[in-house]
Amino acid sequence: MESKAIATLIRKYEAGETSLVEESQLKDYFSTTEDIPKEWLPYRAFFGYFTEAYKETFPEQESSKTPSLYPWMAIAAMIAVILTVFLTTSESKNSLPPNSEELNLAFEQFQTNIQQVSNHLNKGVEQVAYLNYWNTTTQKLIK
Amino acid sequence: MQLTAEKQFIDQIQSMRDRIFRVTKRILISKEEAEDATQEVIIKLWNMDQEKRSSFKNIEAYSITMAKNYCLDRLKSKQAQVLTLNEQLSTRQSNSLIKQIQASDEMSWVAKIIDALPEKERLIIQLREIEQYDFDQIASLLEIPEGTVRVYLSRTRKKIKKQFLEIQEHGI
Repeated sequence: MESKAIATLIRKYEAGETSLVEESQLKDYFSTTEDIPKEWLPYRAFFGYFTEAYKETFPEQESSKTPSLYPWMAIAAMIAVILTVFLTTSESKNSLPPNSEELNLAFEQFQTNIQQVSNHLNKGVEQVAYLNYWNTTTQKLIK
Repeated sequence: MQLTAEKQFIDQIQSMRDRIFRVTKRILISKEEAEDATQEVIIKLWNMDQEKRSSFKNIEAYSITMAKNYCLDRLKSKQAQVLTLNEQLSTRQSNSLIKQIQASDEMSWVAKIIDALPEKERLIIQLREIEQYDFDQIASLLEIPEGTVRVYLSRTRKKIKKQFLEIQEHGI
């Protein structure tokens, strides 16, 4: 667009008389033209800023989506571990009284299992704190 | 059927959220406060019963109005507390604004000039220049005649330019 037309548009713009289409013509002109008269430099900054500012978006909350899977995984792991403990203990009930070697082995296994349960439980608890936070906000929304 | 209506509403909210955020941030300046305000507006929209919701022809205009009113109320209660302090500071502030601004590039001059305007002028600039609303949309949002919108806008555009030139002159 020739600069005479731009000058007219700028005058209209300052008077609050340009349409949205005309304003986007100005935007285009200032974003694509390198050599502009010195007195128009402010407009280049204005329209450049307006275009940039339109791109701003609502910041995504980090805690809302990703961690909500972890508590369920921890809970599932806990159930699995408890089941194995339960199954191994109930199995040994049916057999003959175990000797001390077997007892020791069973105790060791039990210890490692319990250790795992406790690890997962702790992990789960940490993550469930997030879950609670998430729940309260969704409850607010759902209400 | 209710479920699809809910889903539709969620989609609508998603697309409006950024706009609500930009407008609330322009009025409140603080990013954190704008986030809160945006959530607040969305919760209010959500809590509205469905009949009322669907009766609004333009839910976006309605939500921007709600956001605007919410933010102006917030400002009012804040300003009441710090009014006297502000009055004392206002003369010194305009000087420090120039100094603060000179350090940055021209586009951030514009951002800072706009954010230092009175809130009504900030809002009108946001709605027209950034959100690209029609004059009649802005007029109904701000509850003023279209002619007044043009006058305000013209005045504010000139004001921004004047301040921009001032910074340029004082600058390097």
